Amino acid sequence: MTRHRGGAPIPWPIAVPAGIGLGFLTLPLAALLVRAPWTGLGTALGTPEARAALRLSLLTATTATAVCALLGVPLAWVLARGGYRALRLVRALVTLPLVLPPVVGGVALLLAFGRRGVVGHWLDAGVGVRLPFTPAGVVVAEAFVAMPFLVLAVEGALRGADPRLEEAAATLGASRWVTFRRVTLPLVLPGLVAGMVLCWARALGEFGATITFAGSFPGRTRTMPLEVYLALERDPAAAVALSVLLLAVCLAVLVGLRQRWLGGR
Amino acid sequence: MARRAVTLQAHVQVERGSWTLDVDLVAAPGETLGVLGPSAAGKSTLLQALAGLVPLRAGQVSLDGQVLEDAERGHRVAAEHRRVGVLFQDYRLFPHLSALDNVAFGLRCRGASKAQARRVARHWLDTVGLGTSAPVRPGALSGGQAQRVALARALAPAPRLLLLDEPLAALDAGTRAALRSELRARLTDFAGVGLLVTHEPVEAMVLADRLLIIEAGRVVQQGPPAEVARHPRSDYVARLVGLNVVRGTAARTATGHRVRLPDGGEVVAAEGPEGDVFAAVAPAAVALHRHRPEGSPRNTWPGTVTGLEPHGDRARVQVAAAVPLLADVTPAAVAELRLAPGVPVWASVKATEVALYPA
Repeated sequence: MTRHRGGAPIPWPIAVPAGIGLGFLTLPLAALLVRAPWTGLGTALGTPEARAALRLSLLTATTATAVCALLGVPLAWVLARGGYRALRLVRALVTLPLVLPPVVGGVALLLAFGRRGVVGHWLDAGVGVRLPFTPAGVVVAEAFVAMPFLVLAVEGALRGADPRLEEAAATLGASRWVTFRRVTLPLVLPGLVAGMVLCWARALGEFGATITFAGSFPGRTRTMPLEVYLALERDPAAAVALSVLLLAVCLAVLVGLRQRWLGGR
Repeated sequence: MARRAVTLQAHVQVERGSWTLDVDLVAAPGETLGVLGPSAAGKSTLLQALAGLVPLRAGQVSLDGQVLEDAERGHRVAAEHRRVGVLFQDYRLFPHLSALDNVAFGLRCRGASKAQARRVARHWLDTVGLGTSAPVRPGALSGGQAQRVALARALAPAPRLLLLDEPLAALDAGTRAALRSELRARLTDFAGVGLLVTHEPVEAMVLADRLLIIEAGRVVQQGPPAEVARHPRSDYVARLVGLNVVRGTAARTATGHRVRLPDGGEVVAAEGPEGDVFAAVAPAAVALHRHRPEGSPRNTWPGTVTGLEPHGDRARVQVAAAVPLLADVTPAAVAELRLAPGVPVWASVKATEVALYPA
């Protein structure tokens, strides 16, 4: 009999759906591992297409995460510490990409940053920058979809950080900026790292907004998820192999960061 | 007396919901003010206002001739630009920095190089007796050690005003005594103004040169601790120092000084001033009886015991009579009179035990 800490058995109306839910979440991953072409894995991943897609994915997801951290941490600070009434609206706007269908996000990005977009035609005519269908466009699409994860995680951490410590820092002569850099940021570091991991994972898996805004040009905008989807028709074994690889990368990052930042406390 | 230099001059008015804090104070270099008052009297608000953590509604604060805040002119020096150190009740050490870097923090903020800041910080850690704890994170320090580090951290940037907000309240009794003498030593050496907020009379008596009693946002009494203890001017202070004090109008008569109380009662004293006075009686001078006492001229009141608690080797009895009284009696008397809440008693005080002083 399964027993939790209190010693009482878990009631079956909870235990049964919980078991089914767990199975539902783990079974597809298990199936992926069972059907993976383990012997041909090396050749499937060794193709130039696969390697280009993996390199592009890692590069864009990491760049998008860096962009999100650079813009998202200050945004989270304003949301947590700003003290303006209008911030409730701002928070709702920040959360929107979280619930928005990624394809809609891609369309919206085209209308904003496309060649004839609201901002895009200025970028094109003014500085000669074209975002759609470029690797930079992939980064934009990924950052748009993934930033809310980081902002919400960091805002939560900032709300949990003790404002009395910031008060103490002020009495010691620290300006708001120094306080943020030397007191607040170190205090919210675990939350920031967790937010960055979530953000990175979401960016790595981005599909809808990327294909809508950046297209699927091999080597330029065809990231791993796009490659997996296309390979599924052309060469299903390669698609499975790529999926296993993506799963392995995600697990490695999660496990590694967990031990580094969250495990040792 | 020679005119003393004034370091801190403040008129602090802060609105706090339903009440207003309105306090005037001046202090000379090297002086430590003890701000004493019941909880929610506005003590901590005063401290936060001086530190620049809450804005004044009206008034001004100046330190060493520099105006830190002037509400009328809309002038305000931010907290980080005031040469003010704060010791908080809850230490507020930075958990991610070592004890040494906590102490060095303020020095770094004031422009010292890393090496220089650490050197000065090490000196301060040595001064508070924690030189060996330099590399330790606050999480591994005891409460007393943490507060010593916090004290070193507050003093290291050489503030001109040191604010201490109930610094011993979070500590256990043994640690409290040790840290109290540490604070005393540091405050004695401190060249600036110290301002200690507390609700603990012993702390204030030991550490402060002058007391400021605040009730409901106003100063009700100020003076040297001994003076305040001898001549309390409010019920709160009287209870704090363990005296019975009532206010009334004294007039000389053939049978002694008679003090009429506003509610119609009367207290007889042997001598003293006339007019508006306070009458103080030490609890040890109050005798309790089962029946009405007879004999020499004295004050006698019928009353009821409302409370009883141990007080040193005696028992302190609260009596509701024409005047509310505290009486210190021996345990033998408690047994003999069968004192307990609700028991009717007679209280008596010799006229010579009643001290009168002008209100």
